[in-house]
Amino acid sequence: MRAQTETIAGERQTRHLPRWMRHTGLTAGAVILVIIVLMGVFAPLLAPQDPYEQNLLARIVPPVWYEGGSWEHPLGTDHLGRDYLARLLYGARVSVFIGVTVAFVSGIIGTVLGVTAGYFGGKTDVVISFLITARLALPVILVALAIVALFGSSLTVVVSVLGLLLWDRFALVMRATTQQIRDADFVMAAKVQGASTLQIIVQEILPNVATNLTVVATLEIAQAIVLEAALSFLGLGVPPPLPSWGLMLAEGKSFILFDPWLITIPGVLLFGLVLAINLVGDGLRDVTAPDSRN
Amino acid sequence: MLRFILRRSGSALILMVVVSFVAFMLIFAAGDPAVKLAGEAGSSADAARIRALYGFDKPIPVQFFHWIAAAVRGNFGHSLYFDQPVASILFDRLGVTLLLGLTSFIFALVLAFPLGIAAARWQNTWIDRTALVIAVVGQAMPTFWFALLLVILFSVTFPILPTSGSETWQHFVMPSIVLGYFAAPAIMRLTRSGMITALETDYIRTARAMGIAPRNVLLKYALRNALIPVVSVSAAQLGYMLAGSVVVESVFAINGAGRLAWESILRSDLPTVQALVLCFSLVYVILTFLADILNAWLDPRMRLADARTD
Amino acid sequence: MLLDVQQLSVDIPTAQGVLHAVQGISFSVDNGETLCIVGESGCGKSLTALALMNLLPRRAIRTAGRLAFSGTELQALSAAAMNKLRGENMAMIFQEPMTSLNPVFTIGDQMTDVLRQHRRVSQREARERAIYLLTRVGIGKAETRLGQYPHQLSGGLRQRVMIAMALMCDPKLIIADEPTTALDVTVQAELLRLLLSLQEEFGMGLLLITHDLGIVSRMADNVAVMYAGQIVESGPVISIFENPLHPYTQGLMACLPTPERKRMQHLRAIPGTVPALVGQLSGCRFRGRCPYAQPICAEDVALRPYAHDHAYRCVLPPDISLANAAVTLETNP
Repeated sequence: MRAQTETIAGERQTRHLPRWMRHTGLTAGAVILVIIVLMGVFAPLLAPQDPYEQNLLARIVPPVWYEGGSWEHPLGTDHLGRDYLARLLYGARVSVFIGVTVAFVSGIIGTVLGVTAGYFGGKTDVVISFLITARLALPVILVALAIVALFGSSLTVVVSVLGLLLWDRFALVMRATTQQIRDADFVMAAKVQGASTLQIIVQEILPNVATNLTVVATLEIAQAIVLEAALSFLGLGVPPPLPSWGLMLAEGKSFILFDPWLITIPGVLLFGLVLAINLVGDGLRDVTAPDSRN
Repeated sequence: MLRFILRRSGSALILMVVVSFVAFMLIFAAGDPAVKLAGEAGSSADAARIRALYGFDKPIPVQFFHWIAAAVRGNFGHSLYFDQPVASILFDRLGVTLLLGLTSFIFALVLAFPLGIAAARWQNTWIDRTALVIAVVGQAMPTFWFALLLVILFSVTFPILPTSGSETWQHFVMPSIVLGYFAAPAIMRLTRSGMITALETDYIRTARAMGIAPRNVLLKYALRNALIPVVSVSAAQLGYMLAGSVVVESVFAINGAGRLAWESILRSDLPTVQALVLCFSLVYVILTFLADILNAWLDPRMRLADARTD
Repeated sequence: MLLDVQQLSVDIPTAQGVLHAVQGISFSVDNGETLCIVGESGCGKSLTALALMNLLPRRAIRTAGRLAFSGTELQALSAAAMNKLRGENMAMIFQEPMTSLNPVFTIGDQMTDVLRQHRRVSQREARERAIYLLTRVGIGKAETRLGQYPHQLSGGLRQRVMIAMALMCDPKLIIADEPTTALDVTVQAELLRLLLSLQEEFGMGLLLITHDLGIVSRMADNVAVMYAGQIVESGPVISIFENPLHPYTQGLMACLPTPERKRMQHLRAIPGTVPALVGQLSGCRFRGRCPYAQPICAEDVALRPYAHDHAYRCVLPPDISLANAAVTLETNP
C-alpha cells in the first residue's frame, strides 16, 4: 500500500516531463550514446595526437592516473607507442560507422523479406520463413570469420558480411508486424481505391511498421558493433592499423599481466556503447509498445 | 505425438540439407578453390591437377551430392593442415565444445530461471530491478572482453583459476561463466515476462482459490505455462553459445571445435572449416528440433493439435 | 452463522484518486442457504467475492468490521491459514470457464491436486473422489475425462469440471461469480439445477453473484442488491420480489421479462450511467438516474428496515415507492 501511494506521488512529480524522458534507461542510454557519437564525430579535434603515429620510445605509457603517466598521453600509449586516447576516439568512428551501415544493409534485406512474407502469406511466407530458419541455423561468427578470411579483411568486407548475415531479426519482426496490420481497415481501404501492391506496401504498411523497425535497428546496430569487435579481436575484422576497439583489445591481450588497463579502457567504451544502444532500444520499445516488454 | 515428431523431423531434415549446401558453397565463396589451394606459387597446371583430384571440374550439384553423401557416412574430407581425415580430428574437439556448451548452459539456466521467476514474483521491487540490471549488463557485455576481465580478476589479481587449457574442471569455470552469462539475459527476460503473464491468468486465480500452496502455484501451475516460449529461446541460445565458443575457446586456449574453427580459418584449411560450419549448424537444427519436442510435451495443445478427441 | 460480513470495503488507489469499489457492505450466509448478490457490472459484486477469498488484486485494499467464516475472523488469519481455508472450506467458481482451468495439466491432475493439497489422501483415493464428483456433476466417461486437457472440453463441460473441482474437499461455502454468464441458455439452466441439487446434497452455503434477476428468482433464499459499491436493498427473495422498495431494484424488476413482455424484442435497461466511484462520495449513489430524485437525496442515506430482514437505502417511504413502482418507470423514459 505504501509503495503504491509512493509510485502515485512519483508519477505526479514527473508528469510534466515528456514521456520518453521519464524512462530512466532511455534517457541514460541516449546521453551515453550522444557522448560517444560526438567523440567519434569530433575525433580530429579532440584527439591529442595522430592515432597512427608510432613512437617506439614511448611504448605502453600508462594513463595519467598511474605512476609514470603524463598529460601528454592522458590514456597512455599502446605497444607501438600510439596515443591510446586518439585511437579510442577514432575507434568510436569505426564502431558507429560499422553498426549503422550494417544495420542499414541488413535492415533493407530483412524488411523486404519480412514485409513480403507477412503481406503475401501463403507459399511466399513458407519459403521466406524457411530462409529465416536456415539463416538462424548458420553460426554467424564462424561464417563471418570464414568469409573475411577468404576475401581478405577490409572495412567493406566486414560491413558486407555482417549486413548479409544479420537480417534475421528484421525479417522475423517485420513479418509478424506486417501480418498484424495486413488486414487492417486502412489497408483494405487503399485496396478498394485501387492502389497497387507496391503503393500499399510503401504508403500503408511501411509507415506502420516503422516503430518496430527502429527498435530492431537499434538492437542490430549493437549486435553489429559487438560482432565487428569480436572479428577484429580474432584478427579477422577490420585490418590494422585502423583503430577498432576489438583490435585494441586483441593487441592489449598480450599485456594483460602487467598492463590490464590496455584491456579495461577500450572494453569499457565498447561495453558502454553497446549498453547505451540497447538501453535506447529497450526504452523505445517500452515507450512505443509498453505491453510487449519482456 | 509420434505424428508430431515425424512431421518435425521432416522439416528438420530439409533444413539440414539447405544448411549443408551453404556450408558446402563456402569453398566457392572467394572464387576458384583450385587456384586458392594451389597457392600463389602454384602454376595453372597445379590448379588443374587439384581440380581433378578434388572433383572441382564436375558440376556443383554433383560435387555437393558427393560431399554430402560422404558426410553422411562420417567422411568430412581431408584436412589440408593436419593431413588426415577431418572426421578424426573433429570428434574429440566437438566433445570438448559440447561439454563446455553444457556447463555454460547449466550456468545460464541457474542464473536465468531463479532471477526471472523472482523478478516476476516480486515485480517492480528491488529484486526485479537487480535482475533487470544483471540482464542489461549481460546483453551489453562483449564475451571476449568479459573473458579478459575474468582473467584479470581470477588469474592475475586473485590467482585461483587457470587461464588456458581444458584439462581440469577448473579450466571450465571461467569459460562457462562467460558463455553462460552471454546466454542468460534472453532466457531471464523471457522467463520473467512469461511468468508475469501466467500469474495474471484466470487459471492461476483458480489455483489460488482452490488453496493450492503458493510455492506450487508459482513453480508448478505458472512456471510450466511460462516455460513454453522459454524452451525455444533457450535452445536457440544454446546454439548461439556453441557458436560463441569460437571466441571464448580462443581466449582461454581450449582445444575445442570453436578454436579449431578459428585456427582452420586462419590456416585456410577449408575442408575442416566446412565440416565445422556443418556441425555447428546441425547441432543448432537438432537443438531446435529437441526444443519443439520438449514444447509438445509441455503444451498439450501443441501435441494434440491434430488429434482432438472431444 | 456460516459467513458473517460487516462493513466490508474495498478501495483501489488509482492515478486519479482512490476508487471506492465496495463501501461498507454487510451480509451473511447460513449453512445450506443461498444468498444472491445482484447488480450491474462494475457495482463491486465480483470484488466482494474476491475480498472474501482474500484474492483481490495486489493494490486493492480490503477493510472490514467483521469477516467471520464459521466463527473464525478471516482478517486475523495468516496467509497460510487463509490458504488452508480456501479450497477446503470455501471454494470459488469463476465466470470464465474457457480460461479458468490450467491448459497444461489434465483435468485429473488439477482436481486431485486440490484434494491432496488439503487432505492426506493417496493419489488413488483422490482419483476416485474426482471420478465420483465428475459423474455427480453430470460428466459421462469420467475416467477418460480425467486424462484430458481443458482445451478438449466444451465450455459447459469445463464449468462442470470447475464445480466438481470446487467440491473436491466438500466445502461449507461455495462462492460462484456469474458461473453461467458465459454459457448458452440451455447449459445455463442445467448448471443452475445442478448447483441447487448439489447444495441440497452437500448442505453448503452458496453465495451466488449475478446480474440476472431471473437466476435470482430461481436460486436465492436471500437477495442483496448492489449499486455503485453499496447494498441498496436486501432481504428474503419473496419479500424483495413482491415489494421492491428501492427505485433501483424496481428498475431491475422492470427490466425482467414477464409473461406479457416476454415477446418484446429485448429487455429495457435503466437509463443513465453508474457514477464514478473515485474520490469523496456522498448522497444516494442512484440519484442521477432515479425518477424520484429530490434535493434531500444529496445527503447520505442509511439502510432502513422495512419488514423482517428486509431493508432498503432510500428516503422514500415504502408505500409511495410501492404504489408508483413499475408503472412510473414504464412511462418515464
